[in-house]
Amino acid sequence: MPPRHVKSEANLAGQFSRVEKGASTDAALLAQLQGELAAWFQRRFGQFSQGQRLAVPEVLAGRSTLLSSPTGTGKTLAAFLGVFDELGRRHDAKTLPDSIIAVYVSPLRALAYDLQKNLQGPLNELGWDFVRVGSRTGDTSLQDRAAQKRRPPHILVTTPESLILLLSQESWLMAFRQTRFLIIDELHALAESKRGSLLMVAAERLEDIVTHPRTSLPAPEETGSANRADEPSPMRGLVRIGLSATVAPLETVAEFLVGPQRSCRIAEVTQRKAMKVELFSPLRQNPYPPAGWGAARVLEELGALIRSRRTTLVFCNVRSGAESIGARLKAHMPDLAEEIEVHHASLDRSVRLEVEDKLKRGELRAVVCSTSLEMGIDIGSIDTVVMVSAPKGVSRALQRVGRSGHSMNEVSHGVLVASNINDLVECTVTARMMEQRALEPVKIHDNPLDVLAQHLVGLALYGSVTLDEAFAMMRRSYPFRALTRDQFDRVVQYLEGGGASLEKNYRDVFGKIHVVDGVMTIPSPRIARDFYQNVGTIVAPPMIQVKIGQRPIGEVEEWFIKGMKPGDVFILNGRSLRLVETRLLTAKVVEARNALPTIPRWGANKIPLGSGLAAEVVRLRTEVAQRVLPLLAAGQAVAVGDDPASAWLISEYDISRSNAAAITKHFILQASVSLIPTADYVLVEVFPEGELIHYFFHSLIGRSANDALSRIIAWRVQQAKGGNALVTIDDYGFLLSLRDFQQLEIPEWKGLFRREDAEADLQAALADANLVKWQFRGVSQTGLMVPRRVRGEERGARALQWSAEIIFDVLRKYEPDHPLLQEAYAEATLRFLDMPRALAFLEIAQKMPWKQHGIDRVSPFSFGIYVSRIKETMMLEDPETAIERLYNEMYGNVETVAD
Amino acid sequence: MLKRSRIEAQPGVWVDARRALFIESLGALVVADIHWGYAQSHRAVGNLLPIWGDSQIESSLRELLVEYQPREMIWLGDSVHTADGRHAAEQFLDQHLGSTRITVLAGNHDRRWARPQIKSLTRERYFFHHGDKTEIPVPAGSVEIIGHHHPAAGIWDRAGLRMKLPALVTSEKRFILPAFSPWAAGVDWTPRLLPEEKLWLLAPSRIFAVRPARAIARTPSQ
Repeated sequence: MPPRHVKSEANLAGQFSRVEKGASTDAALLAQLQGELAAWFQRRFGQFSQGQRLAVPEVLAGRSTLLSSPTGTGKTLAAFLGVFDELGRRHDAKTLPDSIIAVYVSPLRALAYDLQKNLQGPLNELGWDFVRVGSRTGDTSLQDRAAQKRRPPHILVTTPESLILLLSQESWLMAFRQTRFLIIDELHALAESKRGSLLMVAAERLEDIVTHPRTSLPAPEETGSANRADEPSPMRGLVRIGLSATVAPLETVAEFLVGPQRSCRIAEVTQRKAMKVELFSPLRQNPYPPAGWGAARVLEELGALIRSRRTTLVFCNVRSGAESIGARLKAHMPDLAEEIEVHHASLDRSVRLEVEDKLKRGELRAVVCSTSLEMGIDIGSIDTVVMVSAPKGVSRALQRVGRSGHSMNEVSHGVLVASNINDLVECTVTARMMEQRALEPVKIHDNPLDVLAQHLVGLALYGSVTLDEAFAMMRRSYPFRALTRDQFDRVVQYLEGGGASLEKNYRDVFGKIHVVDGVMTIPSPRIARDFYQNVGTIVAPPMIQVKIGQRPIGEVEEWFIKGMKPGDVFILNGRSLRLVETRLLTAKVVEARNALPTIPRWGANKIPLGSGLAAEVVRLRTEVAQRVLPLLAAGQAVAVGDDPASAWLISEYDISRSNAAAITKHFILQASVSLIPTADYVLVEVFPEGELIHYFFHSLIGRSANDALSRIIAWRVQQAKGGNALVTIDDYGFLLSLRDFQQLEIPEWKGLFRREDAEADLQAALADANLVKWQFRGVSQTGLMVPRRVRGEERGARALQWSAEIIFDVLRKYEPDHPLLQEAYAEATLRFLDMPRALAFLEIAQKMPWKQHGIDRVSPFSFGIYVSRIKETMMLEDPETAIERLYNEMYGNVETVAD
Repeated sequence: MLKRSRIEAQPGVWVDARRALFIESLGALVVADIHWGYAQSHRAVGNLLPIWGDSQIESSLRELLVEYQPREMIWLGDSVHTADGRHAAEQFLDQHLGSTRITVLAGNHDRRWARPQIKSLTRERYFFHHGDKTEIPVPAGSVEIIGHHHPAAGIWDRAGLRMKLPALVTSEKRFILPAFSPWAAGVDWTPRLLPEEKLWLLAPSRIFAVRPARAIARTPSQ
């Protein structure tokens, strides 16, 4: 079942309607376009794409539109033909002003650059030198900025942060007064991030400027008061055009684009590019080959595939995986080593651009990347997309495969490479769901209070917006459609410098905004300067730049370098590098060509398994179990591969016989060691090991939900029995390692899995965990409590750097309902942890039968989690005890002193 | 009231878990890097930190004065974070004007504050200064006592738990005091520990003497 759109209250009937047919004929559509434009289009392209036929008439009619389609389908022109039409007509009528008519926003600077080129080309062909296109990002030179201010471009190509910066400057407001179009690209990606929320509230600000030019601008002091009573009737609003990849549900994304009070048309390109998805597993029929054997086979197959194609894109889920595979491919195919590159976000920008350019020119045979190349940067023609390890989400998988085959006529080709038997099961299911286009629902964060804080300061810069106006503006945006006045007031109070006055003897409570007669203002110009430097939500952890000689290669996390000493070898940019020296902000390395890395770069897969995929894996398990168990009960030898379970797998998922056989063997072994976890009961495996008792809970709900669930359960164990719990999680369940005295039986376990008070218990469990503190670090920066850590800022004793951890502890103790603290909790429980899914599991678990099964060795289904033990001790013991214990473990042989 | 922990780090020199040093022969209580008005200083430049810290500092200093009854209290520099935060510090000094001798040394943060009148101080064989200026000549044979570096050390287990505690660094020739400020997270000092130096971890009610195995620096720190 496709995800349902949950409509908000102010939804009118037909608010989000589909464009059914679009323009009836190409000729009819051409006739609607301005003369020169139509002539040019016909000469250049001949016919319209489906997306253009659906979307262009809507834009011409002045209706906001969401265009959802795979990449490479003429999306740019689908959005811009309407813009060009307007520009051409105004020029004809001699009413084209020297100000911005269209704003295009994309999340990546690279996309912005691409677009500028893609627009300039047609404009040159049209001979329309009266249209100015300007790009504005963090990289725009001072000269260009000044030129843009003097003569604003007609089409502004920019990023969310740069747009906000412009909208926050009084001197730029005139340039936006006549803006007609707002085009947002990669809308699906922005919608799921806070950047998107920040952008959409800025869009309301833009809408305000456009529709109420008199009242939205500061009262002109020179000309006397602007009487609000005689303002002109509001101007027509923006035509918002959203460009998005295939997402669901589209109505939600449309509402995100226009807000709860406006209408939007939905144009969905249904003409599907043909897609072929293949499954590859190195396992042949043996689910558990010897160590390293699988990796060697994968390398061989990848090599063969790369040789047989012109250009292959290889996706890995983690950056370290991309590095590792990149390095190994180069070593495996030395003759192609120069034509194989690695691409991920930690690499220096110059390195990334080089790779992208080479790709575009067709000079590379393979690029191994992480999520960095998922978005629509033009990378030329790709033959095949390989995904090493299951991509964890159907939408993500489809988007990746969509990067192959450049035009609509070419077939998209994707290969899923399973790295182990569990991965094979997941890939099997993923391939099928890709064919069904069973997408995960888009997840949009509600009421991000740190974004609200930042936006309010931006509004206060004008000195003319009242609290009531600001509140109403927020409610017109989707993320804040249900914002309560109480939440709003609390954020205002924080910004004013309020909150608990903790010190009896302080003077001068400084705030970021002053509210005078209901109008928001700033207390000093410094606030404006700081604001401009801190706009945005991107929060980076402290990074160290890695250099060979003077040449920057990329960045690595500071903690990673701190754990190394000179001589250690690690991998970056597909090369083995030996650390020579670490300075404050840079690390000097040299190439260590044939050296093996001494430091493994731990990159846990942070992408959680989508709920649809998880449910489908459960279904597969249940079906296979039903077919496998009777065979075992009968006690006969099973001819694996020709058995009913394999037959079902082959017919259901269209996989090879050897893959089906490997999967069936895996299930048979599980059944012989333990039980097969299915949809019919909750399985708990108990495995004693030395001083510990391992409890494996097979809750197939994805790692984020298991992260939330395991914390609740571990907390409850601690409350019931004392002590700590060692917890390991993955997508398929979680492992609790307890001590003897913490033993529990099924009735007690069931009690611990109760639904009541789960939220409160999670909050308590998180109290001392690092998780919320980590989230708070970002929230405190976005919410302007502290300045962003600027690169080049001195570390060390000279400056007493603010510590997010200390601020967090102080707030927790003295201002527990501080809005930024609440936002950090929300980030932790809703975005990072997926609490709702965990709670849903608790509800179901109560109604299902439970089976606790003792095992004498780790079962095949639990082996993955057992081996990947990323231990995290719940800091449930009190800090004093923890110090004692740790001290003893670390320095037990040195003298201690008692009170 | 719970008696806080203190130990004799060297004969006649005591370190108190409340981040203070007491030198018996001088009857002197020494604290460093108080950074009074940290939150206010931030607020004055637009960072909305919760206004906290000065009360903690005030009550802790008072507690120490009551317990140790020192002949002199020495503030080893960086007593205020910026001039904006000086009010609480001045109030404390004014309140204790008649009762306790408080000697305030200058640091780098409190350059613009009028109260500190000296950069360094010699008392018997102890030489006190903030520690930011390495060109100040240390009298031969004396023990240098400084702050400025906010030394701390981490403890952790292999299961993901990490804690950072303020630390006192001692040797025959030099003491480096931890920051007194509750806002100071501290700098991990273990990579900079010299072979002749000892590290004392100050937990709220216990002090641990430590020589971490991986800490020995091969070259002297700057």
